[in-house]
Amino acid sequence: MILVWLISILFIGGIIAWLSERVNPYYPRLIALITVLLDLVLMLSLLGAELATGGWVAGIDAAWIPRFGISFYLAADGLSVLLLLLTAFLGVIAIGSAWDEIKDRAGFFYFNLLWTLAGVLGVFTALDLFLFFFFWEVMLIPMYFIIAIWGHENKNYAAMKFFIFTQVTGMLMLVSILVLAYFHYIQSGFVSFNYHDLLTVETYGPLEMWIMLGFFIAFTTKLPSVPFHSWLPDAHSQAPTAGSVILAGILLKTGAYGLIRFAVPLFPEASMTFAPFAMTLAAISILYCAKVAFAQVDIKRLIAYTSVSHMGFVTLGVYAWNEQALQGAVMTMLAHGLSAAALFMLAGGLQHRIHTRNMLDMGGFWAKVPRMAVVVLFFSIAALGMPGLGNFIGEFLALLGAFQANVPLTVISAFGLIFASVYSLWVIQKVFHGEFVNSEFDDSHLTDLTHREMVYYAAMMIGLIWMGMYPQSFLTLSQPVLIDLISSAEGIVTSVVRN
Amino acid sequence: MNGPLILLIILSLMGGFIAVPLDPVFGQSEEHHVSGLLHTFMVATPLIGIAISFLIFYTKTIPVEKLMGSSFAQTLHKFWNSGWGFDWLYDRLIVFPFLWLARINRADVIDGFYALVVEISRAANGMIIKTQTGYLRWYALSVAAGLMVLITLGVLL
Repeated sequence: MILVWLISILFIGGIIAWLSERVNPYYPRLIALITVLLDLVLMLSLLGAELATGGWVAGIDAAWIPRFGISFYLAADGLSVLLLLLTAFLGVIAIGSAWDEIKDRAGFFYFNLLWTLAGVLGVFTALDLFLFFFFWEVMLIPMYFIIAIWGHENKNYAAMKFFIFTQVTGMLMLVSILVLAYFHYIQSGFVSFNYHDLLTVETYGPLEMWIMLGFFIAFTTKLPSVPFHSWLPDAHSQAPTAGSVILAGILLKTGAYGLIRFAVPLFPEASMTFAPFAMTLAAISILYCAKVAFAQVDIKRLIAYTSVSHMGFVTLGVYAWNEQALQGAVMTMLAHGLSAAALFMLAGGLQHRIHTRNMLDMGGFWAKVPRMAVVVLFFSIAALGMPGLGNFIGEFLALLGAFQANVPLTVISAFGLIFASVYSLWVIQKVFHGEFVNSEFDDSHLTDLTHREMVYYAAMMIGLIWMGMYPQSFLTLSQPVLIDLISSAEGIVTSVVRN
Repeated sequence: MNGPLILLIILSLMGGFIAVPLDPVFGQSEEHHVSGLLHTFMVATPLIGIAISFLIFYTKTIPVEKLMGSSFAQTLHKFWNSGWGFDWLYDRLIVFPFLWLARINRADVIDGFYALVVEISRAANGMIIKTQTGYLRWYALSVAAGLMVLITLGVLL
């Protein structure tokens, strides 16, 4: 029941925030903050003994459209809870980053923000595939508005691109879901969209590959991975800061979650055949996007490409499909959620101050904004995979696991860590070192981070250090889930082989 | 200032005797058997080096100016001075190709494919718009033509 509360609090909070704008334009942000904090506190109550044993908690299964076997089925396990916590945490951070930035139509902005978060919570907990698709769409449309209304100079192009990419691939997934449910109907005589029912469906031959690809394309577009990544740099460079935080920190992780929860377990055999190809795409993503990131002069586009590069480690880990690799994928999701969100906030903060994202106009900012410089340095180093911080744990585990599955691709992917330090240090050098140039912009607003901003960054820093120093507290939550997924997928594969 | 240096000298000479407890990490290393000749060579090389530099710099038996006179020596000096030319090599092998790749693909060639899709859609849109003439006879003709295609298909299939 608590999951229903978590989601409906956000839906209702969004509506109240929207309406409250008429009373006072400062109410929406306050209501949004209270709503998400309330969710965060409620989520902590999910952490309990059942999670450590790999069970589902807070499940609710109510008939929704019984004629088609569609139910309102929500439940959370360790993996879901980790991602729920990340969502609520970054939700608070996103509201913080919008606090001063969003002045125009604030009510509608926070409405969209909260509804996106509600959709994400739904995606992470839905165990009915139709319901999952419903939430998948719910998080898409408010995000479209966030980019299209509060975006920057080229916002319509970026918002439309984001919408078309996600919508078209979402449709592919819907077709796959329907075909899968049809197969279930043929094999067991009743229609069901229930995840556990669909896990038992046996699909053979080339059709299994096609259905799997429907899911794969939808998820790797969201993740994103080469060659479906090109919406991301545009969306990120145009979105307002809070939009970027949600997008990089949480929305990308829904794609990774989908791969782990649905794409591989539902189609273990096809996934096994497809794994070398997926891992090749991952290796290409890592290296290619790291290289393109290095070439960018727009700081937000640069960070967007680095996101694609880091998400390559997630794909690599998922398709290696062993415990270490999956743990690495999950840790990368969590750590990248924090580090990418922080970097986008910093880039957004810079843009808010000097009204440009062009790095060629920047230089020598260290003396002007020392606090910001140190914070950027911290998160850049975290992102490039410095041992002791969360991202290292994730990428290292992903590589360690992938090494057991495919040595050449892992060796190639490992070069991504070197590329990561190349572009990270290049940003630091270009923006914060060298001569201070102020001819291109009005530098009177180039002020250092405020105390409020420092609080957000400090919270994210603590998170990353915690992940880096004591990853076990996260690994124990996801471990039983991942072991379950691996063994059930292997069970299906071996039984098929025996037949 | 000399104190730490002397400590380091002692350590660099004797440090090998201190057993570092890394066996559980790296495992037992195998004994390497090196031939006696190679062994002699390895020990002799630094000693010969010390002897030559003693002759050049201390007793000045071999004058430096004469040694550096030949152009071959100059080239060798330049080569060694630049660290065996490794910076040069890395520039050619890694840095320049990387920068070149970054420069030619700043706009992400994969995005070009999607831009092409957009262009084709726009072009198709432009063509279809041209049929929106407002002439009733044109619309009537289109409807009739469409019907004929449908009927033909129905008959043939």
